[in-house]
Amino acid sequence: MPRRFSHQGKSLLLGVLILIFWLAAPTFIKQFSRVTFYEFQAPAWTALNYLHDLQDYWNYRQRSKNELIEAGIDMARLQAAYSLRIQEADAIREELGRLERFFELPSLPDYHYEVARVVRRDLNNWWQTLTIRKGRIHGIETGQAVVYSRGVIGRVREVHTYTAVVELISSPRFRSAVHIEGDLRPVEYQGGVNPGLGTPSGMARTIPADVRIPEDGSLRLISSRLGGVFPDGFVVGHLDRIQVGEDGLFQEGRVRLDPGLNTVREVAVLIPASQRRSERVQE
Amino acid sequence: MSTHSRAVSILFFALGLLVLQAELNNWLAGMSLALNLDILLVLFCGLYLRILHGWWIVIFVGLLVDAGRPTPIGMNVIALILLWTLVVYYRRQIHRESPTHVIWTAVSLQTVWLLTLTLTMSYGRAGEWIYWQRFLLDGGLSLVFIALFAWPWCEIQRVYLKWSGWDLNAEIQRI
Repeated sequence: MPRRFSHQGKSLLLGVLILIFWLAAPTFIKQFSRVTFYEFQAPAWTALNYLHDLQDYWNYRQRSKNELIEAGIDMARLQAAYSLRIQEADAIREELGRLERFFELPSLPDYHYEVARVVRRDLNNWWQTLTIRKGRIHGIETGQAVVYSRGVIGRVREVHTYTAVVELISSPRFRSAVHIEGDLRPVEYQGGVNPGLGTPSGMARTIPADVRIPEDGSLRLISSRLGGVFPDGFVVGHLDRIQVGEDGLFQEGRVRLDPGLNTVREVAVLIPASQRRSERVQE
Repeated sequence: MSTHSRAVSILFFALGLLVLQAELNNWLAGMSLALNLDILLVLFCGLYLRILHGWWIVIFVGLLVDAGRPTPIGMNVIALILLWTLVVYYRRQIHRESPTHVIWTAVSLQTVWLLTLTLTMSYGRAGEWIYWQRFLLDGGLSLVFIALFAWPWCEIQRVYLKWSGWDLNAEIQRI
């Protein structure tokens, strides 16, 4: 750096230099730097998450035997209930297959559930993302649906080698087709209404004019396979109040999302079974 | 330890701050709150380090921050470099030995950065009250945190450098 520059001149020169370099640099260099720097820090996030798991493990070790026995009994009850549900689901699936063959209908898409731990939550006013501990090597791809025990959680936004970034349904950039339970007409859903110290929410638009909220409750919004990302039937949120939209033809309303969205620790990525089969063939 | 190695070790303070911020945000997510402490990543580099050392550290940290956020590519690098440039440009006017000056610099620059983010990442929500309510809550929390920790944060790094044999006070006197 020439000595005739003052420190102010030097700082301005260096600032302008990086600005010019960044504006002139080709996109692939920017993309490469982004990927490289992400992969550089990803092990740190994962390691922190493993430390939390270890902390939980030592917490569980502190529990008394009586507590463990009670938890074991609860688990056995749940397992019995789920075994029955699985048998029921198998019978329904067989019946569905039989009807599809009989009426020569195209079969519904089948999914494999890849369960992943949440490593990091970045939920602020500008974006709402989660980083999960599974990535490209686990078969995850951009755009795949992500669900959790209480319904839809979002869509995979970025995939890295061992991690992936999920855009939540509360994110302003999340938009999807949904429908009201029991009504197959599509409704447009968009996230992005996230008050501080409150529950996350989104907006439902293009609700048909004849839809009414029951006096003693709310309407449940469920995912729709129309968008090509989510299968039918996963809970998105609840509509407590609707009003006539700006166009006067449709209604709109604020969708109350599950508060568990902000504290979720485990999610499942829906990987289409067709993708799994093609991967196995390649192997 | 050479001067360059000591300057590089300051990078680890910034990395530690990034991890701390992520951990705090993980915990605050349950209450629908979030912290943004970006100014602390450039404050020490701008106020106390040599210009080239600070520049390299801010670029590296900026690229790390940029990689982890769903913003347009390079937005965070450019923003952090601009914040750093402002700090360096006015560092003769800022009394670095005065906590009030350091805190005031950090809080005012962070406010500018938060406003910039809020206006550029609004996705058509700039007219909604809820959007600004969240901005006030998150921004207020971040600014309080910065006001409380900006001075200790700089002091820790200054003490560390002094301990490793680099007296920044003496160097600043010479500039």
